[in-house]
Amino acid sequence: MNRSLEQELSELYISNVDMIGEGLPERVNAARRGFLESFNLSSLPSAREERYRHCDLRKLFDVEWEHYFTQARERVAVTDSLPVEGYHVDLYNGFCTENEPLTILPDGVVYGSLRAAMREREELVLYYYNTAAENDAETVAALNSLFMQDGAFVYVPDGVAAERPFVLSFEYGTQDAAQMCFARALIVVGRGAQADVVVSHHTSDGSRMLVDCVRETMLEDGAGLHLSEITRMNDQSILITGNYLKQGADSRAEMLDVWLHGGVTRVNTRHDLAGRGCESNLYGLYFGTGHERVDIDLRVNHLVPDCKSFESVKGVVSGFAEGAFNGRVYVAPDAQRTVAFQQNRNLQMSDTSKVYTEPQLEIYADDVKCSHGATVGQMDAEAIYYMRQRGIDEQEARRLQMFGFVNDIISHCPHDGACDFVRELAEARINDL
Amino acid sequence: MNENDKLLNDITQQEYKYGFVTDIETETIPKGLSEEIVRMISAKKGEPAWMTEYRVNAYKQWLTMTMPRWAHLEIPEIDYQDIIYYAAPRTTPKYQSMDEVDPELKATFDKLGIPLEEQMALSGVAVDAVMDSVSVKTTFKETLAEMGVIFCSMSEAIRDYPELIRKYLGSVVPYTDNFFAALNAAVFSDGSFCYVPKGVRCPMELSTYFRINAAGTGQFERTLIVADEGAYVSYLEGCTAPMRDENQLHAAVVEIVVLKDAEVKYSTVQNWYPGDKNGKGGIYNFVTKRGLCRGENSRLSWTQVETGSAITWKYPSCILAGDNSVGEFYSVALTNNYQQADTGTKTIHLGRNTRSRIVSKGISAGRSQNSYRGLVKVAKKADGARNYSQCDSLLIGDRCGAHTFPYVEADNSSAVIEHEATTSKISDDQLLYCNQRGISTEDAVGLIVNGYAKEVLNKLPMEFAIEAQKLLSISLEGSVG
Repeated sequence: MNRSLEQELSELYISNVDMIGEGLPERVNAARRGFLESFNLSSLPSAREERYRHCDLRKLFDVEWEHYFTQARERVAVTDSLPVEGYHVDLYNGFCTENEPLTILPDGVVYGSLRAAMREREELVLYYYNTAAENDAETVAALNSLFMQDGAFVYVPDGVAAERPFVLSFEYGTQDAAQMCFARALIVVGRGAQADVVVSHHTSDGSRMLVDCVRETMLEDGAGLHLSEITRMNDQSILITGNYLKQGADSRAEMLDVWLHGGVTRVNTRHDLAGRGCESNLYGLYFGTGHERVDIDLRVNHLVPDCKSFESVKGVVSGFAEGAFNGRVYVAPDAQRTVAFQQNRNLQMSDTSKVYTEPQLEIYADDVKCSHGATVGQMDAEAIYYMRQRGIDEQEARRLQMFGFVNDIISHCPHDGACDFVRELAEARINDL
Repeated sequence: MNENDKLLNDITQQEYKYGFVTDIETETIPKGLSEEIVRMISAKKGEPAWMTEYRVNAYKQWLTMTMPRWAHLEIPEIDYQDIIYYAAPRTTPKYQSMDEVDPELKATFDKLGIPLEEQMALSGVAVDAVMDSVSVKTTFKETLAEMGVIFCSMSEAIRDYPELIRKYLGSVVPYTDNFFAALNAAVFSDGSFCYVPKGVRCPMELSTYFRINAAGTGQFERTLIVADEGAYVSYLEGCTAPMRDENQLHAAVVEIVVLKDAEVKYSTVQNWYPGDKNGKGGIYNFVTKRGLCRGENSRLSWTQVETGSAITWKYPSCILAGDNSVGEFYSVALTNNYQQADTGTKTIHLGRNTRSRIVSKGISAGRSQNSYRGLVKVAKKADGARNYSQCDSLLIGDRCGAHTFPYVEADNSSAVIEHEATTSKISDDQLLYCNQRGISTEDAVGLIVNGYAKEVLNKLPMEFAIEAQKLLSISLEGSVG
C-alpha cells in the first residue's frame, strides 16, 4: 500500500527530528509533537475542500521534493535586496544569512534571526510565537510549525517608534533538484509602538521550489504598523503563505501586498481584530500571466465591537492564468458598531484566463455597516477610443489604462521608497502583458 | 332491560374506540424507502413502464449520494426510512366547519385579507358548497384549451401527454443532479405540468390557486413548465396563507424550459410552517428549481418571497444557453425566531450576449440565520455576457445572523460581472421619525421592511404583491420591542 502524503511528511520529520530541533528551546520542540499529532489527524486539503477549490494542495505537495533542512555550509548572500534603507534581515531558503544573527538596539528594538532570538530572548519570543497561526485549522501552518528552524524576528518594545524600516528579504533558490523549504516571520509591535516593515519574497534563479511560509504579526494596544510585502517568485515556484495578524485595542495596521510573479501563489490571510477600536487597511494587487495561478484567501474577523476594516484587492489576469479571490468578513456576536468593507476588482485580459471571486460576509451582530463588492471586466473600449483620438496609439492607451487600474493600489504603499520600486516593477509587468 | 341486553346495547351504541377506517390500508404504503416502494408508488399511480424505470433509476442514483452539508445550515439528522412516501390526496375534510379551525390561523387569514371561501379551502374545511371555484376552474380550463395551453397535474400529464413528459422531464434537473432531486424523481407524488404552444401568450396568470382542490400534492412536488417558441406565461406558485403541513421534509423540483423568443415569469410565495417561537417543529424545505433558456432571445424571471419553513435550502437558477437570453432573479427571504435559510441563485451564462440580474433582499430577525448564496458563471464561449448582482441584508435584533456567499467565475474576457452587497440594521433615526408621527415601532418596522423589499415585491403580480406585503409585516410580529 502506498504511504499517504501525510505519512511521508510525518516520517520525514521523525527521521530528522534531532537536526530540526537542534539548538532550539525545549518548549518549541515539545510543541511540535502536538502539531505532528494534529497534522496526522487532518490531511492536506485537496480541491474537494471548498476553500481550496482552485488550489489543490495535495497535488502541489505530491512531487518528489527534496527538503532544505540545513543552512548551506557557505553562507549564501542574498543577491536581490530591496532598495530600501533600513534594518535588513536577509534569509536564504528560510535561514538567516547574517553573521551577527541578532541585533539589539539601545532603545530595545530587536531584529534578526528568529532562531537566535529564540535562544537569546526565549521568554519574549515564546510569549508571541505560534499564538496567531492557525495550526489546528490550517494543515500548511501546522506543517510549517513542525519543520520551522529559523526565520525573521522583529520586536519593537512598548512606546518606541522604530527609527528606520525593517527590511526582511526572503530569497529562495537552489541549482539542485526541486526543493521544499519553510520560512517564518514573527513581527511584534508593543504598546503604543510604531514600526515600518517591508518584506520581499523572491527567487534568485529559475529552480523549482515549494515554499511554505508563515508570518505572524502582533500589534499590542495602540500600536501602529506599516507593512508592505512584495512577492516575485519564478514561474516554476509554489509559494503557500499564511499571513496572520492579531490586533490589540486602538491599534492600526496599514498594509500593501503585491504578488507580481509566481508559478502558484496561495495566500491565507487572517486578520483578527481582537481589541476594541482597532483598524486595519489592506491593499492587494496580483498579476497572472502564462500559466500562473494566484489564489488569495482573505479572512477578516471582527471579534470585538468598534473596529474598522477595509480591504481592496485588484487583479490583472491574462494568458492562461487563473486568479481566485475568496474573502470573508466575519462579525462575531456582539461585535457591534463594526464597519467593514471589502472589494475585489479584476481585469480579465484573455478568454483563456480564469477569474473566480467570492467576497463573503458572515455577520452575527446587528449594529454594523458591512459591504463588499466584486467585479470582473476588461478595458473600457471608450476610454481607449478617447485616447486614440488624441494621438495615443492603442498599445499605449491600453497600457495607460491598466496602469491607472493598478496604481490606485500601489499609491497606498506606506513606504515612499518601496512605493517607487513597486511602481517600476508593476509598470514592467504591464509592459510584458 | 336485563343485564345482557344492556351490555349488548352499550356495545352496539358506542363509537368504535380504535378509529376503524378500512380504506387507510389501501391509501398509504408502508414507511421507508426501497426499490419495492418506488415501484409500488408508480403502480398506485398507474404509470407506464418508462416512468417506473425512471423512478427506479433515480432511486438507485439516490442510494449512491449523500446529503449536501455545505450550506450554512444546521440540519438535524433525517431518517429517510421513517417517512411515508405515498399517501393518496385526502378526500375527507379535516374539519366540518370554520369554527373548528385554529383561531390563530384564522386571525392570520383575516390579516392577510384572504376571502372566506379560500380560507376554508386552505385550512381543509369541507368545501362542497364551494361556490364559484369549481365553475371558475372549468371556465379557465376552457379558455386555456382553446389556445392550446396544457395545464394539468403531473399525473394527468404522464397519462395524457407522455411524449411531452418524456421529452422534457428531467431535461433541466436530471435525477443525477443532487441528493434531493434524485429523491424527488424517485418518489414524487404529483405536481403541475404546463405547456404553452408556439406563439401563444397565455391570457391569464396560471396559478396553483385555482387548483386548490387538487392541492395536497404532498411533500415531493414536481413541476414542469415548457414555453414553446414565442410563447409567454406567468406562473404563480404557493400562497401567502400559512400552510400547516404535518410533513417535515419537503423536496420539490421545478423545471422550466424556455425556447426561442419565449418568456416565463415564475413567482412564488413560500409560507410553510416555520416552527414555533422556540424553534420547535417546522418544515424543512429543500427545493431544486432550475430554468433553461434554451432558445435565442428567451427570457426567464424568478421572483420569490420566502418567509416560511424552519430550514430553507433553495437556489432557483437560470441556465442561459440561448444567445441574447435574459435571466432575472428577485428574492426576499425573511427569517425570524429560529428559522434558517440558505437561499440564492445560480446563473450560468453559456450563450452570447446573455444578460442576468440578481436582486436579493434578506431580512433576519430573532435568532435566525439567513444566508444568500449565489453563483454567477460565464463560460468560455459566452461573449458579451453581463451580470449585475445586488444582495442586501437587513438585521433586526442582535441575536440573528446575515451572511452573503457569492461565487463569481469568469472564463471569458468580454464578461462584465458586478456584485455588491451591504448589511445593516434599521436605523434608530428611521424608527424615531415614525414614532414621532404616531406609528408604533412594530408598524414602523413593517413599513421600513416593505420599503426595503419593494424592488422585489414590485415584480410580483399585483394581488400577490399586496398579500406579500402584509405577510412580511405579519412574519415580523413580535420581533421588535
